[in-house]
Amino acid sequence: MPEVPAGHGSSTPPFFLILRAAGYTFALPGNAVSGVVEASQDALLELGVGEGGGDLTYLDAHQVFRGGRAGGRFARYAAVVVSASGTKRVALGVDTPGRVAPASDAKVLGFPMLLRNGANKMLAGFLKSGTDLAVLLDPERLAEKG
Amino acid sequence: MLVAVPGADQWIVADRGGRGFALPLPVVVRVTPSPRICEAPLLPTGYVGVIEFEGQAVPVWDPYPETGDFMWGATVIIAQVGDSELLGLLSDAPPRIQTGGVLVSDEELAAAAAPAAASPTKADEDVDWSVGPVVKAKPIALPVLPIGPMWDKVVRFAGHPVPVLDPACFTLLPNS
Repeated sequence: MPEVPAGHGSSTPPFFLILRAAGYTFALPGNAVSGVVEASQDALLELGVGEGGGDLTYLDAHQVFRGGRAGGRFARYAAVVVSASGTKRVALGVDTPGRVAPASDAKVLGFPMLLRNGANKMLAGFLKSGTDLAVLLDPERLAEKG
Repeated sequence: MLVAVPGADQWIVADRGGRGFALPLPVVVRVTPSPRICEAPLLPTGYVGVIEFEGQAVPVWDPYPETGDFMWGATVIIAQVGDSELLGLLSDAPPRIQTGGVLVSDEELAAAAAPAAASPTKADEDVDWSVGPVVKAKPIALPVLPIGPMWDKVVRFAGHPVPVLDPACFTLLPNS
């Protein structure tokens, strides 16, 4: 999927991107994702992303969400997440190319206060799409990780 | 939906990994068999994810996480934590309602938690010679309470002790 300029102009995204990474189901606001890149057969995704430009950082999902070591598993896809200012871009390694959930069919559930701690500020809440629930990521906090 | 009878001594007794826990029925809002649990990363210790309940994400806590991963189809008992917060408690199977529970006294709990006394055990002490060579029924040992402010009581049902969970204490936990 080719990258397109991500637009944070409106607060309500037109859609959410649902994807799996590190064994979890995540959702990202569609206006914070500029595209999903796929590794070529003979190149590691991390290296490919690294060649894309100095402002794009690769994030290993296993390292970010499970505290594992980077490179423990090589993701085949990466969702390119852009900060609202457009100055920070991170490529989050994911296991699936993702699917689109229209915002009209989705409902955002707030993050419970009982679960909030210093380590999970990048989790913005939960997204209910149909009967499925996904962890909604905060693209700004994610971009800060880059 | 379970309905508490005012003034009645009713408890919800559940099981997780072969270990029981009890809740006073009035704090239980709903028992949801096989809800869809959304697992989430980076949560405080013991929490596995959330379920959607009446339009909000309700945290799901595993009373005995050391017993291993929960299975699909597990039951979640939704309890009131504060004025507006809810908490889901993981159970391997639908819980049962029990009455006639007797709370174990603090003194007995303290004695059970203390190291065993140094008195030698004689085989004769286990036999009731007044009625013949009949082995006396031993009281069931109190369970070791897990660590945490939510575990501070034990209730006995017909002699069987079960640790009691107090959901109100979850707001006291540091979210490490």
